[in-house]
Amino acid sequence: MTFTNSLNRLALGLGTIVAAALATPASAQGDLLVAPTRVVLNGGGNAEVVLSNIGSQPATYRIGVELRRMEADGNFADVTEAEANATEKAALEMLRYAPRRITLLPGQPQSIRLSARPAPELPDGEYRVHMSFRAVPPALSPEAAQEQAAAGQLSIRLTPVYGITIPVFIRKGRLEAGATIANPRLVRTATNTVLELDMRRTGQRSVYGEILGKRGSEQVFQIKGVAIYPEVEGRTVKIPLSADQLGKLKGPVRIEYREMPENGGQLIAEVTSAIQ
Amino acid sequence: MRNSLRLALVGAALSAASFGSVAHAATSATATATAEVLSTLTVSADSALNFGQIAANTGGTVTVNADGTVASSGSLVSTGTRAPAGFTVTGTNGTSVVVSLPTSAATLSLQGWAGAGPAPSMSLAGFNSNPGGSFQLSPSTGSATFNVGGTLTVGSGQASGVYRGTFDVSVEYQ
Repeated sequence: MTFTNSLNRLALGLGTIVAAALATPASAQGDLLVAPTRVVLNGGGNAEVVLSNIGSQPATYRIGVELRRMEADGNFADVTEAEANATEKAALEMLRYAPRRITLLPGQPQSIRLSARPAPELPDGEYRVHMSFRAVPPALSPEAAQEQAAAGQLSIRLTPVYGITIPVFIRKGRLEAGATIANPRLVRTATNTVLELDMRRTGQRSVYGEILGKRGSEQVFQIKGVAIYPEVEGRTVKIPLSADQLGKLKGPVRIEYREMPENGGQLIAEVTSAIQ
Repeated sequence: MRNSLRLALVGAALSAASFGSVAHAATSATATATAEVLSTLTVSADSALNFGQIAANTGGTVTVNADGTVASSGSLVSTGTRAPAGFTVTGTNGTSVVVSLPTSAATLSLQGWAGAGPAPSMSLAGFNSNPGGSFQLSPSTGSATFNVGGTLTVGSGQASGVYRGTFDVSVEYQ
């Protein structure tokens, strides 16, 4: 990257600050920001994740670790500690993090430190937990509860405990992985058209990147942040297409799966095919 | 809101920025600085899951689906505004994210219960989101909204009052 590029980025950042200062925040309690959105620790090590209160009121957040398994459609299934397999248990045991509960004023960020040391006797492989950041809902005051009950009807107060979960990968040993793309096809539903791909993974770790669709030199679609985790051999990926994009996908289309640009953008898999 | 989070984004990115020199292939001597811009993900709640007003009668269910459709069964009377919960996610343009919902029922308990035994409760299950599962953040704005709904089961002669409960909603990065 050149110096000019960096300056441009900085200028972009400053521009964003000015825009932010002019806006009126109108958000619910517990809104949150997390950065970065995935953490990879090669051979263990330390990292920091920033949690920021982007709401308009002070809020308390709980930080925890959870287990997830990817399914064939790319969605995640919750895994309880009782259901955890040896790899998942090892991942839970090796990760240390603090603090686990923080109260932040509006606009206030705080770092959560995490570290992992894979034990020497552990087999080489990729160990993963999903770190969760959730707002703790405030308690309703007794007066408010009394007042609401006086109405004499059923009144329902549902508080979503919403948050963000990011994957934390701990890799031990030299791990290789590859992927293939097959069978691109259009699936039409009543409301839209979706391009479906079958993606397969090989090797001892997850793969992560973006999917690009090109017709000649023109890029027609792009979907970032697509992973295949080691617990699945493959998954489907669904890419919704607009009528405009669909119109451009006549004839042979080149579909690429590449590392994210910040990781070098290397080609992982590709397929050239007419799509129908 | 979406703008205030960007402020934090920039702050976070700058605080974590690493400045270093990168080997440059060009023959001319060029000063190089890099600032790592961290990808961020934010979630904010826009509207609450609303089951409207319910008169229990001999009980039944009220369903508010994520796609906005509503239904009720049994002899209960369900009126008023019924709407799914709404959330906004903002992250990197064009990125795929996944919404995770509870697979087990959430319990809502009557507040201020002073009677004998456990407080009366109702259960909320059948959580669904729209769009469901994984979806893509807008390629131009990096934002997306999603809704969450479910089915509330009301008992026969369910005691009146305020029932409170929570349910977990997670937005996940891959």
